[in-house]
Amino acid sequence: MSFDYVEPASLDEALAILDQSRPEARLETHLMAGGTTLVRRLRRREVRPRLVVGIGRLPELGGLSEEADGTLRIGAATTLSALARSAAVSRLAPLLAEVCGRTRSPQIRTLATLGGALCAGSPLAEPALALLALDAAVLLRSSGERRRLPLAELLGGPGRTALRADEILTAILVPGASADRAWAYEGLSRRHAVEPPLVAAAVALELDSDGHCRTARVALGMATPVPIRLHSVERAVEGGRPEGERLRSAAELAVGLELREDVRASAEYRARVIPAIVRRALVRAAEAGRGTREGVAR
Amino acid sequence: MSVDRRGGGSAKQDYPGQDAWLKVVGGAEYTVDVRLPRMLHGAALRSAHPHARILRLDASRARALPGVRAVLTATDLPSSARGRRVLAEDRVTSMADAVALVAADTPDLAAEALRLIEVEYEPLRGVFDVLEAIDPRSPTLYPGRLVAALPPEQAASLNNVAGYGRVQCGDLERGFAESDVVVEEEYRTPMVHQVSLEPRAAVAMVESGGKLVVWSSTQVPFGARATLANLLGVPPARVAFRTGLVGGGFGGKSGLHVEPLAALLAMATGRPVRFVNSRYEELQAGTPRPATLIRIKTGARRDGTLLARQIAAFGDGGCTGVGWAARLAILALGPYRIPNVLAETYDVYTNNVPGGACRAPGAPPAVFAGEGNLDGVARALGMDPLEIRLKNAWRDGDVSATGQVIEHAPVAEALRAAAERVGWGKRRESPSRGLGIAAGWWQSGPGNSVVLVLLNVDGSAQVVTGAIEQGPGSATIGLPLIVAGELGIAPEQVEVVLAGTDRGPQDGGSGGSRVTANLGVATLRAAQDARRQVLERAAAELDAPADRLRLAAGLISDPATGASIPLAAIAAAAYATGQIVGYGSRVTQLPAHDPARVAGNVWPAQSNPAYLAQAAEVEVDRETGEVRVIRVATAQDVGYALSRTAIEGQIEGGTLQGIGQAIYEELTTSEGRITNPDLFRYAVPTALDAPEMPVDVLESRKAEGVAGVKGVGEAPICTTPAAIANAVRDAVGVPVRQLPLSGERVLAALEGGSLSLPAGQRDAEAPARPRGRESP
Amino acid sequence: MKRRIELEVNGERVQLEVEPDRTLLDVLRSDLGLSGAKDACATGDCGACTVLLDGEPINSCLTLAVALSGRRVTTVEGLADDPLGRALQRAFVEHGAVQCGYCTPGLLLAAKSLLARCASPDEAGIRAAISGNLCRCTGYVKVVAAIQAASQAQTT
Repeated sequence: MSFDYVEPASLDEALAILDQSRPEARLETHLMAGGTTLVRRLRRREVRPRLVVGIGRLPELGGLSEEADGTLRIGAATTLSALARSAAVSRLAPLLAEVCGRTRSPQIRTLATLGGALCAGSPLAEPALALLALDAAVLLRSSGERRRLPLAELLGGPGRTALRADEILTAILVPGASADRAWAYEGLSRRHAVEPPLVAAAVALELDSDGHCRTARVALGMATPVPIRLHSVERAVEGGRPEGERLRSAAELAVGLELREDVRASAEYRARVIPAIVRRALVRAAEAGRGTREGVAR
Repeated sequence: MSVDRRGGGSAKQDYPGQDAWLKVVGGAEYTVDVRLPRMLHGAALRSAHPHARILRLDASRARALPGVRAVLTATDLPSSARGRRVLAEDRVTSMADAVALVAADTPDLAAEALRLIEVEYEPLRGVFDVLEAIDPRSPTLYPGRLVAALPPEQAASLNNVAGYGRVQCGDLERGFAESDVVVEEEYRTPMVHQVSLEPRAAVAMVESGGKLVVWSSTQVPFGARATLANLLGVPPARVAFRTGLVGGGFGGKSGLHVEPLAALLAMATGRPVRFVNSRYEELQAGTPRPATLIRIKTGARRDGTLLARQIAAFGDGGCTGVGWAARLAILALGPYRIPNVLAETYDVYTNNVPGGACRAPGAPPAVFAGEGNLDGVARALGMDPLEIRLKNAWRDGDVSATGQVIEHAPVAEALRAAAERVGWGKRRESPSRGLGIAAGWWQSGPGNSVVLVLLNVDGSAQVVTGAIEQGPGSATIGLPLIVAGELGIAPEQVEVVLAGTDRGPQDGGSGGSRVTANLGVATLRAAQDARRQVLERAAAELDAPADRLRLAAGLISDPATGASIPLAAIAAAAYATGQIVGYGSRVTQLPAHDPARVAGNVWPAQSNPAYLAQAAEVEVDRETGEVRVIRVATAQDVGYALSRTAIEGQIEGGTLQGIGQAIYEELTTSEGRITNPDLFRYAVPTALDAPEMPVDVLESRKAEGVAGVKGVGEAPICTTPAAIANAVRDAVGVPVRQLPLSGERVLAALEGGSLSLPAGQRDAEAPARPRGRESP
Repeated sequence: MKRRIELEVNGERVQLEVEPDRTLLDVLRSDLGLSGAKDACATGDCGACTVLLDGEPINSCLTLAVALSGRRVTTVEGLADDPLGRALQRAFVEHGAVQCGYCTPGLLLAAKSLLARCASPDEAGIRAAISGNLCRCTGYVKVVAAIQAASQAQTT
């Protein structure tokens, strides 16, 4: 599996390597940040790159900052363990901190980056669920262009993303909440580490001062080809008080989805349990909203 | 360290073993760590089909690749190795079959060479399930192979039977006729894998004199040497196994695996060859616990007295027919008085991967069926599951179905202790909580051991053994404790020499929970022999009769006179003209049994068996079917506890493996191909998945010290899936008769439907058929 | 093409020429003779290859050595260099936390990273910290007890 490795000093230098007008860029080139996805694929001989470009240490892909409008800007090469331990993330996006602090294993979380988790196009990227529920967007750069995409538009399908061959994902933007935000993350697991849940749901509810739900974001993953938003569930929750029957009937709308079938669980089983998992996530988020106004997770 | 000397090698204390320190500093050497000059890397091309004819095999491109030193196919093998499943000849019968071998300068090159080997197959119809396999309309995988013991009337109607066993006693029909309830059920269990963290590994080298040296991760060095020598057509003395620390075995490293592959490549190249399975290969081409199908029917009187049990059990032995089915009979009968029995067992050929030994072969599936069925009887009678077990549990003097007299069997004590640990009979914390209990028994396996104990010049000692150490401490903790106890020295002063096959005496290997109970006794005898020599010399020095002398804390003393002499002085004096060397051996025979009750290849009796009970508490999520294990309590008879820490470690580890096998471990297959061959999809429990596992160590003490020891390592896993399954049934009211108890399967059972249970298994309860008389 | 890298391994600066496709695990075992870390799954799912990178646990089987220039690597062979590492080694031995030993180096390093960050973790914290290290022998009971004991030895 012999290939060459370069570690550019700047983002522009990295983008120049990817510039598709240069003939050598058309050779099989792979970007690597944390390496957990690429090295696994290399060892299985699923990919045979000619060139691997290390971008994990590019200064432009680092950093974590709160912008003037309350947006949390996360450099794409920030590792999951750094996110889990960041005070800023715990304050501004505790749902993301929670998910990043428990997915897979401590060893993977040390290496894996948030940008890498999104660019792999994996159906099993738990942080993507949190980000979908938080209305996150991503910034993409190529030599000639900057793009900003809602996260849902980046996630194309298993193994596919909207990322072009000449682009690098540079940052993830998590907008600030316009009201109190209550959240919860609920998964149905075989084991509670190493492998992700069979089904998982992330919920973020923005609650008015009178306790009505202004906006609801419900993301579902691990069971679907890519993490998705459940818009019909969201609409059924929004506008009223997030309570009992309203949440139960909203969760029942989590049906008719395209679901994954794998050796861990059948699509039929996943379909059966999804409404329960979504309901639990909604109920726990709502309870959190009524209580301390701080999320809870399980 | 003080030594609590209680006679008979009964030093009771915690000693971590000399290897523990090596292991925490990264200095322990396993087979994978062996590096030799000019060493090559071996790899095997495995079959692309579960059943196919090989039409063409062309390795010329692989042979031409620079850095490739050998490519072997069946025709390149010595005649002694032909037709022995080392390499496929003209047909492959499972995905595990090796078709060609490569040795190359690097692992990457070897892998590259495998891709250059062209094989043209003609796929043949395969059979992948025992019921399909025994159907006379299915293809016969090995035409002409006959099973002598199989009754003629069955032979005509059964296909692909590789082995048959029968246990029979009493009058079955009368037993059922006299029963007030009869419960008949069918249980299924999947293939599960040992998943030792160290993969199977071997490094082979031909020494200049022509001797083949094999560093190996095998659990059974002498057995492996005999088989390998036979395969290679050379005398055993021309083959040497260098063995020692093994990174977990759990039965998966019994016998030969990659050793012949490394050896053949080393002989072909004249260079050392390393052959280490990848995890993918471990799982895809391993020798897992066979899948089973067990039909079981039990009859009982209204008062709970068991009267009859009938069993038909099938073990899917894969392409080699090693289904371990014979063990299913006596294990599914359980440690209970059942006067009328017929148990028939069938090893079956299929095109699945070959079956193998996995911690307590046969037991978890058998006990799952036997104890699940017993709960079915209890429910049909409206009886408490603990009560029906206590009523029927063996007591000393009872006779097993095969005629073995039961001794030192604290079954009832174990049941009560385990039940108490989970608060049996208490009010449920929630309606979705349930309690389950199961009892079992397991042998301290037989086999020969020979041990030498050498007294060094300073009074310290060496134990020389051909055994290996796969983790439990049977060799590196147990043997020093035994020798130290006998010689009155500290265990730290006893060095264990794991000598392999050509640097020490023979040993029956590590398996069947035999090591401490057999090798330990041999060691005790060797230490006693050394001790006798020490005391004889001391008696001369102290002018006292040897039987009056005491040996403790490195000193031989005469209580009558107060005179003493250091052990080191005796050792040094002996060393000047020779050395004190103790010899000990142990040959264990199977216990007496009644041959008239046993036919075929059933192991007819359990040698020096240990008894145990486990009780489980679970919580079942009724919406998802998810089973959460709250705790599994074990009460296990160890005979005599030599090292409490080591015993607890075995029970805790065995229980967690059992929990994995109860709720999610399963090699999933599709047409003979393993579909989860990695540790992401094959689920080994993590630290976050381990529940509370309280342990009660019971000591039946048939003798003080080592002579009272029973094997420990395999017993715990025997009952764990059964206890958990019974707890799940208690929680949700319906039995799930197929392992693992995945959320998917439990939910299907809860909903009365079935995602995966075969038709006919969908009823919430098995038909309990009250027969004959009405209530009095 | 080989690349020159410089690592700090167990406190010593090491310069190496490595092919870019080589994992840190392979370099540690083959080039540096540090064979405590093991290759047991090749997919980052078992933790037997765990080493510390700048003090944090990683799967060295999923890490290309070429990308680590300038970074600090700690393996089980370097554990005895500090009191916490020695306390953990002692506790593992004394509490029966070591059986076959194949997972032990990885467990020790995961535990060291935890205790360096959090001197007195609770049991749940300990279990979470070692949840990426599969152990097939012990059932984890004695491993958790050993880490608790090492934690107490450090804080008292």
